[in-house]
Amino acid sequence: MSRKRVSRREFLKRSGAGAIAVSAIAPADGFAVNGPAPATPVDRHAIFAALGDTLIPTDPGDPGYSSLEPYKITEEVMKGLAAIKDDDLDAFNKECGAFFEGRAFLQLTETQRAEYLRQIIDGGRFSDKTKLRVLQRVYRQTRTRVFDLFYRNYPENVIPRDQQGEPILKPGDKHQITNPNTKKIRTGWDVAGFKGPMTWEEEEAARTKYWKRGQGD
Amino acid sequence: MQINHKTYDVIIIGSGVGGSVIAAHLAEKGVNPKNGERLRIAMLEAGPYWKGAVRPGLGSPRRRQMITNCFSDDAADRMWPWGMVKMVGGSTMHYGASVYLPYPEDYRHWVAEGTDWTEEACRAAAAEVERMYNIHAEPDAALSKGSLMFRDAARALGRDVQKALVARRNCLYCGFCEGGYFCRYDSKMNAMTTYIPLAEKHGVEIIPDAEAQRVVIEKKGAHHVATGVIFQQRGQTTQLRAEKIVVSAGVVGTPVLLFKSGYGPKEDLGDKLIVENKNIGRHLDIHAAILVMAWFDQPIKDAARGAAPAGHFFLDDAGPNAYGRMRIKDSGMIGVEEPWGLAFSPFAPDFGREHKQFMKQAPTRRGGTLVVLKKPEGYRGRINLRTAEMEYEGNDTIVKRLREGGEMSREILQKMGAKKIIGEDMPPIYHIAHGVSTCRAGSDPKSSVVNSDFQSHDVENLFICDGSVQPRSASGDAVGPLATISALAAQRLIANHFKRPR
Repeated sequence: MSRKRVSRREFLKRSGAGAIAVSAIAPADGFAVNGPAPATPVDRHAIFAALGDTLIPTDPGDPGYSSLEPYKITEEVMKGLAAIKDDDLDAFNKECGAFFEGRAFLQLTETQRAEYLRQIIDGGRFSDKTKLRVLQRVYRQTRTRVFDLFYRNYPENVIPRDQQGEPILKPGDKHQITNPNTKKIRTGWDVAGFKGPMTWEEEEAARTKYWKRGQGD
Repeated sequence: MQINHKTYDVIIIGSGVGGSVIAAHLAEKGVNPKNGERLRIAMLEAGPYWKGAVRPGLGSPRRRQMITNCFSDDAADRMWPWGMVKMVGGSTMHYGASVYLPYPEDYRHWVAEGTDWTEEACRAAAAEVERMYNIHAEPDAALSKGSLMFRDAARALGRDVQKALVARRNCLYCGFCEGGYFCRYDSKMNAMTTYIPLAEKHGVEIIPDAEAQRVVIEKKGAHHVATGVIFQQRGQTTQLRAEKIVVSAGVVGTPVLLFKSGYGPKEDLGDKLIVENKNIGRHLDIHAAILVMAWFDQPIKDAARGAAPAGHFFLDDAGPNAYGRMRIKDSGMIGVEEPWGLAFSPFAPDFGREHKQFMKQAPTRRGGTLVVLKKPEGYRGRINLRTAEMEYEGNDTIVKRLREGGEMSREILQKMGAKKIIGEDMPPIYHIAHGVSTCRAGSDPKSSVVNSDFQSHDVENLFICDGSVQPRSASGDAVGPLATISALAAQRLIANHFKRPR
């Protein structure tokens, strides 16, 4: 029988959004394939960048993961994926060779990369189930990290705070506005149409609209 | 330890819904019965005080700065380990602002548990809470399309659908409060925007960042008497004395604090026992819930803002006297959708352009219901007084009843036109914020901790007023019933202890 402890905040978050994003990033214990270190250093940055681009593609006029590379999104993604071992990532990069004429993940086209991920999710074509679990783990953890960071508005996902943890307001701010989203960079919030906290102008418009409509008092 | 020789008439521990109501009432209407003077009252709060004038719909500068409404993390380092907020205002700061006053059956249940808290006895208290919290229904024009669809579909299926009442003033309909955020506009009626300003106006000294370590309980002859409170503030330990101590630290905080004070079950306290009461930390009653999620192929709500975070619900009883009462609410049809949560929705494709397209549609197309069960009497858990963890085992009756609620939800959602529905068979969620009864009130000291006047059976001058005394869960969420009980407690404290001498 379930014995599930849920805080008010978590409960309300689940009520509102239906999912909790961060729980899938688990330690590596139990899944890593033991073996010799890769012969050549694993280019972690390149693999995660390619994965990110496959998870959230970028198209003309439609920003995605790679459009945030100038803001070092892959470096930020990697900070949350230290638990993925080099040899696991190397296996992820090379295992697709069996399906794509010996080519590594980094050498595949975008369509082929997507096909490889679908095969990992499906798992049916992998005879070595231990290795499959490693690949699935690399995929799942990267997916969780990439989606979480991107849709939390990276690189405008941090509110500057002082040593006491208090938000630092912009000079001259009269209204204590702390929405970090700007119009300068199109982020995950913009993709999803999420506006974040209101600007002062939006507040004023809401006050005019709703209070005049008789819903304020 | 620093001994502060300042003595108060009353020290209140905790500034959430219970403590704030008591403080405001005692400060305004209570007097020292010995000399007729105004009471000297201190209210301790473990967390910070974001002080400022209350301007509903605008907010005060300090709170507007501190409450960013960005990532649900304004409270991240201001939480108790059990998930409740640690700051002046307590967990009223981040409830969803839906308020259900007690139903007639709730009062009857409380009486059956051994209190005299009848509907009649609580009538004035409930009316006060309704006024103070500005409890009202939103006009249809302000509700989301999905909420209205839920109403119509449920009514067509014979359900007695009602509007969910909300506790807001001058709401800007940003939608964040449904996600458990603080309100930077002071539109959400909570302890900070209602009773705390009143308490301060009438002289209550609020001591923030002061975490109570224990209530001082001394033996005087054959009796035990509460004489003060020891607390830590910025690394310093201080003791204050008072004539009366009111503990309002919540359904987990209160039994844990009493345990640390040597008051509780002998089997837990061992040689640290000062006063025994085996009911402290026991009898936990808590709502069980499931979320049923639905996907629509047309928009049912605005992307982020513009619709009132309020909706509709209906009750369903499995038998007489509210047996197995469920409240089924259109929670998924209202409020703001956070993209970092939506990205992992069970409806979301795995990745790629399909996922991205989903993210563009999901904020307006994901809906669903919340099924909350007021459990049949007899299913109780406990608080582990050493670890402060909730220990609650569900059972087949609870699961079966929630599945029935899930089926009702599915029927409604299908009638609304949902294309995919999931969640009706998920394991129940037990929501500690709606927990009650861990220091329950009752007439029998063998089965309760305080009497109907909120006074400890075992320790003189010690009172408890928070969710822990409520002897059974109510039909709705926690704040309405608790505020009502707190207003009743304040009336009785004044009548019994703080009225003007004749």
